[in-house]
Amino acid sequence: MNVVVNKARHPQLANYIHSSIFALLPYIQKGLMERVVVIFYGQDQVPLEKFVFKLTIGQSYQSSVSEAELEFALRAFLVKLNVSETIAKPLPSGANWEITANFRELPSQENEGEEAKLWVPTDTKQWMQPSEITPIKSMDSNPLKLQLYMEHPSVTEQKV
Amino acid sequence: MLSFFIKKFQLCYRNIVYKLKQGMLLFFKLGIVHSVVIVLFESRAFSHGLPVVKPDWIADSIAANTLLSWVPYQLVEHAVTETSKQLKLSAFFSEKGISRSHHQGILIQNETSLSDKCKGESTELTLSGTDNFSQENSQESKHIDTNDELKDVKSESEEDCSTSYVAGKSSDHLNRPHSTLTDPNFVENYFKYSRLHFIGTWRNRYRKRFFNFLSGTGSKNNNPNNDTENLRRIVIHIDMDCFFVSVVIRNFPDLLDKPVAVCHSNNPKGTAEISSANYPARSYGIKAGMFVRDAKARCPHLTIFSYDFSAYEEVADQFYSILHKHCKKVQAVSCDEAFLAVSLSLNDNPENIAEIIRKEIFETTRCTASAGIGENMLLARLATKSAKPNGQCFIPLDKVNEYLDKLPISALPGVGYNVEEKLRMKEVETCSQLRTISKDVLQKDLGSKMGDMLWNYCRGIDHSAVEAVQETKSIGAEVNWGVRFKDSKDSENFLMNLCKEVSLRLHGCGVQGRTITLKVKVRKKGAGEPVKYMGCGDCETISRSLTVPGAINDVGSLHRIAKQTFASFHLDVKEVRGVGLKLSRLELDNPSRKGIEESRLELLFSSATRKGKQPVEQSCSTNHSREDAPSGARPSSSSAVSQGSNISELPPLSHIDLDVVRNLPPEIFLEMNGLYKGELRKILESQQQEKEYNSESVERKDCRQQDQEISTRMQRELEPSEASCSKSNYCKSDLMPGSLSQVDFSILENLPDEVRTDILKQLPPHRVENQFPESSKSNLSLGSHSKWFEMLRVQNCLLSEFLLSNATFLTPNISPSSEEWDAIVVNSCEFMKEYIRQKIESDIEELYNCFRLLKRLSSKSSLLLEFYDRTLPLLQASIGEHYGGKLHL
Repeated sequence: MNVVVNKARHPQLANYIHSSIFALLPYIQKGLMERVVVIFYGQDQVPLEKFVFKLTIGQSYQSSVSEAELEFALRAFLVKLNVSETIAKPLPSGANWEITANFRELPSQENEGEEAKLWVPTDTKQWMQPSEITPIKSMDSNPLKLQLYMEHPSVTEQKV
Repeated sequence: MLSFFIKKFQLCYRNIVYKLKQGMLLFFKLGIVHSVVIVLFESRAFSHGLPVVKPDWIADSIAANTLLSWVPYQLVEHAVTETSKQLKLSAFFSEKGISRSHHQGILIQNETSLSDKCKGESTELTLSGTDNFSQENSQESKHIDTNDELKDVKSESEEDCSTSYVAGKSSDHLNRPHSTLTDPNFVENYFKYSRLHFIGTWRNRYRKRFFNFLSGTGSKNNNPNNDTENLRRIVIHIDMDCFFVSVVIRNFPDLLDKPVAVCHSNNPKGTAEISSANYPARSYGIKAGMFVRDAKARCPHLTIFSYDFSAYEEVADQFYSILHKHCKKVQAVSCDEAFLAVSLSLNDNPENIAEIIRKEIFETTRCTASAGIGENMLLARLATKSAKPNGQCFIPLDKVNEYLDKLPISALPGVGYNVEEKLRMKEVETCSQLRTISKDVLQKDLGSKMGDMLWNYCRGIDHSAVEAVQETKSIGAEVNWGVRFKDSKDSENFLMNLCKEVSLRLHGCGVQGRTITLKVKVRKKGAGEPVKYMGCGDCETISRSLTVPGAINDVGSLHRIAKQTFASFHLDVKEVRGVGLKLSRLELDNPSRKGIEESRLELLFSSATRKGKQPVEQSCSTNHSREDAPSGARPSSSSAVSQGSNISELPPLSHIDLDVVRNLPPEIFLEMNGLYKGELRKILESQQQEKEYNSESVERKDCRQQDQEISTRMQRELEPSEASCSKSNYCKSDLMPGSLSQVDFSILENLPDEVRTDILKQLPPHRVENQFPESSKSNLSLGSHSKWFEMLRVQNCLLSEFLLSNATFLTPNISPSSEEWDAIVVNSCEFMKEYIRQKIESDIEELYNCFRLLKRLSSKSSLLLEFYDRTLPLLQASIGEHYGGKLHL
């Protein structure tokens, strides 16, 4: 169980990430969340690189997986992220990043109240061409199916 | 609150509906002279977002002679949210039943009083109004007793309208539900009653019916091409006069000179569009596309008919039989319009042949047709316009310029509103003026194609030829009327039905398509409720297409892709106003191939039975005997099948032995599944999952003992409560590796497949791999893909791991293009297809690894290279479908 997983140390950054993910929790629990994407984009708001976490959670599942087991699996999952740096491309200066969440369907506005308002539609542009996908790690352990892959713009996209 | 409420609705010009106790309903319609009507309503489905008040509200309001706030009278609390932009269908619905009573039950006289109302001042609740109200009330309640459903009260007599509605099928027509919200068969009905659909699909029918003519055999004008010098080519454009009206009224000769229009609904207040009007009606200014209520305003004694599609079909067929009789080359434009290319000798008068054709059409169909004759299609079409109604017009070559000079440019085909506006800015209104503009300028202003076309057209030049057969480029269906979704479930149902429709059409034409285009109309931001009842209003249209490697036409695939594409738009389904699905890149359907494909895909779980010659039948029979012997009361499913079609009663599902079923040949299984309406498959699948789940829990045991236990368990599989398995260890290997064990492999090999798998699943892969018998490897590449699966299943490893450890074995010495080689490639591709299907949702990492490995290995083996080349497009297509991208290999 001694797997090292790297983590952001800057308190503000760590806090931001934590609160973002925490805000997603109700939606994840409801199974509304399809993908959580970390997008790196350039100054023109065009994405350069996306890390996509694709989630599938068995809803009907009674949780009897021990936390330790799940943590172990998740650690193993994230280790792969550390070694995936070779796939990533160097980012230009002025690049920025954001966390976006793709819902399976739009959550109903009435029920969510304040929490839903914390999330705003993204301004980041879409790629015009289908992206190039490089899988990093897939995990299929009941009840959580998690896939991590990277998306890059396709070669034709970059020329445009 | 109230004033806000009313103000809001006044602003939006929307309808407010108050539901009262006992299903009474008040219907406020703003913007129309008669504002309020009452109708009784059984309204289970009707509460969303609308206030429901007690009837006392009205009584008290009358007593107080002022409009009281409805809030204390509210029956059920319902906040009117901004999200309920659209009124419920039932609100619209009531409008129809109401229309006849609006002259009685007026509570509030006109719009001005409504604005008074919103200021909180007194409303005009006249005494007579209330009297009528109660009267109406009792009258309506009677209707409700008889009509439980939303079916609205049909009007028995139209007192204030001099209309007569003569449609044969009008009654069920009127009562059909009107939107996706209420009608589960909306799509089907929509197309059943759609005129555009009739026109659209008519062509297929035409093609089938006149196939012989189209292929150009047997026609009396069949002049050989070699004596063209003495002949001149003439184009005749024949168009039936107001086809949709004349066909219907040919049986009502007294209506011939009266104004008549065709429309799908006869509601005089309605916003149904008139689709065709005869010439007397046109003289009142009634045009196609006009709302019925506007038409009625112009001509109160207008008679409206509904469509009679069978008559249209009959007449269209007669029409084309005549055309084909007289001419070899017929280009069908629509069901009532066609171009004929005629070759005539120089001294023949082209008007004669047109005359003959027109006369024959009238005699056969009792409908008139007009004909335009010219040197090319453009001139013929223009001539028809001057010929109408019931006439013919010939534009000889020397009169072309004279004719065109005065012609307004809007008469030219292809000139729409935009082009006309642009040219009007240049003060060009007729063709003669257009001729003064050079081609370059035209092309610059209007685009090269349009400019070129116009330049030609205004000179009477048209190069297009009359072509008998036009290839179908795409097939699809689009609905943009009555589309209102409450939630994503609605939209999914709707998509399913639309896919069914499209699939039916594809099957009807015997084609499959590779490119699937989904078009969605979404309400524009800020656009209000459309003027047209249930129409699409002001919309933005978005569309996306997807090309798949293999052509499809089955409902399942269509629906899958359509659903995904729809989801990728990330729309609020409440705003969707129209959906269209279209397939292009059509290919001819090959039914034999497809049959195999389907059964294969659906039989994934029973893969062991396919093509199985070796162990399959054996295991089937052993299972059979073992299972049947102890349970005599349970009817064997195979015997049920063998009794074939004459069994009157199916054994209940719970009596069927699923293990036997699973091992049945695919054809028999499909048949059984059909008999049970698909339930069988569901049970099997769920059972399969359960088994996987259970199998993990079996602890290390003596093999034979285990065998026994499993076989007993199998007998009980249908009673899950008795399943005697602990549920501690169900997690896949990702969470916890299984335990290591010492197993005697000689025993293991002799065990039935399932038992062996169960045991082996608990062993770490490396151990199994080394000891697994070589025999299965040797015939692996030759066997069907089911063997591959079994291999992986038994070894509990991923294909990539297998490839890695067996790289050498995978490069057999078989000469390319031999039969054996082909068989291997085909089988492996089949296997890979299944494997991709299994893994695409959950594990693209594995697929990625496999293909990386294959790519590397393929440099050494032409077999693997072939395999890789064949399966890669499949992989990329699936990735594209599920993840919207391409795997970067």
